[in-house]
Amino acid sequence: MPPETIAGYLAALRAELAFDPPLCARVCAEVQDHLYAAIEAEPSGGDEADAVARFGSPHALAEQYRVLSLFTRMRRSGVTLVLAVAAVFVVMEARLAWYALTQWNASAGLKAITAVVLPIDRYAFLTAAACGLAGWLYALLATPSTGLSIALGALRRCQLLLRIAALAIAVAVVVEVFLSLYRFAEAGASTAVLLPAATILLEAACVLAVALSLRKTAHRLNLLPH
Amino acid sequence: MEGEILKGHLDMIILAALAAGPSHGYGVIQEIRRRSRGAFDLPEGTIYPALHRLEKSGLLSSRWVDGPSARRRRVYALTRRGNSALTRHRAVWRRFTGAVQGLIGKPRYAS
Repeated sequence: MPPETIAGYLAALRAELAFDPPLCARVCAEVQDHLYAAIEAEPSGGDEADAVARFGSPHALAEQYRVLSLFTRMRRSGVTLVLAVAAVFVVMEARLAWYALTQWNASAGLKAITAVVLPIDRYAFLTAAACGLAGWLYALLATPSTGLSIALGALRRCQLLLRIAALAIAVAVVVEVFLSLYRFAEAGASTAVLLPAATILLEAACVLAVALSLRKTAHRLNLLPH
Repeated sequence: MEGEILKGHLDMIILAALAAGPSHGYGVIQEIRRRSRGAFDLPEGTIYPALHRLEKSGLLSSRWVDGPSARRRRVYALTRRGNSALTRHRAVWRRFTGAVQGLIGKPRYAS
């Protein structure tokens, strides 16, 4: 049964907008002011049920906000991805600098493996950087459309770019982990592996952060009507 | 007025309603009703996601102000980009209505 009082309407709207608490607080405050203003504007004193009915269904209103909120969420995922790619690059360079500083040279076996897997690492990283930047810029510049199907199309294209970037950075990090573990196994138990091991953990944490952010965004996107 | 036609032009209608000066959501709806002489009668809630979207696009700015009855209200205003967008919308609309009028208006036959 549709709400007939302002309190009932706001409660229903709060439940519908629970996916984005800051947005919910702002929208509910605006709607509350609107409904009371509508009642006060009636010369003979307005009726709450009429004001609520004129406003439209809380569900329909929340669906429009869901799309707007998803664009914000997608931009956030894009930022997370771009920062993660940059962090992986910095950490990887720091590890290589550490190897050079400690004169920890690669063995002949490691050099042979590196020659094979390094192009995979390099192209995966470049793909992650290019698609991540493209996805983030797309989310940043896309104007949320009034039409749901157009907005959904833009969101899905952006999601695809970010997913490709996430997969590529995961591949690059897996290659880095493999090469590092090979190097650590050759060195045996030594305190020299502690810093490179920490950098590997940092890279893995970056990939995990990206995966979690994209998963949350995908979940919200799947809740939209198709 | 047909709802779908109206929705397609909602951005332009809101920008035009705010051209007179900053206003809160309820004021925007009243302005739209007044200037359309009651022809545009949308469900009132429709306006808020559109205001939010236009703000996100940089065409509007907004801020909370203290309203009557100790309630806070969010007041929206056109930004410079919003003004430019409205000017563009107006030019496109004039060309469009002129062309449609030429097509579906009363035909004039050459004598």
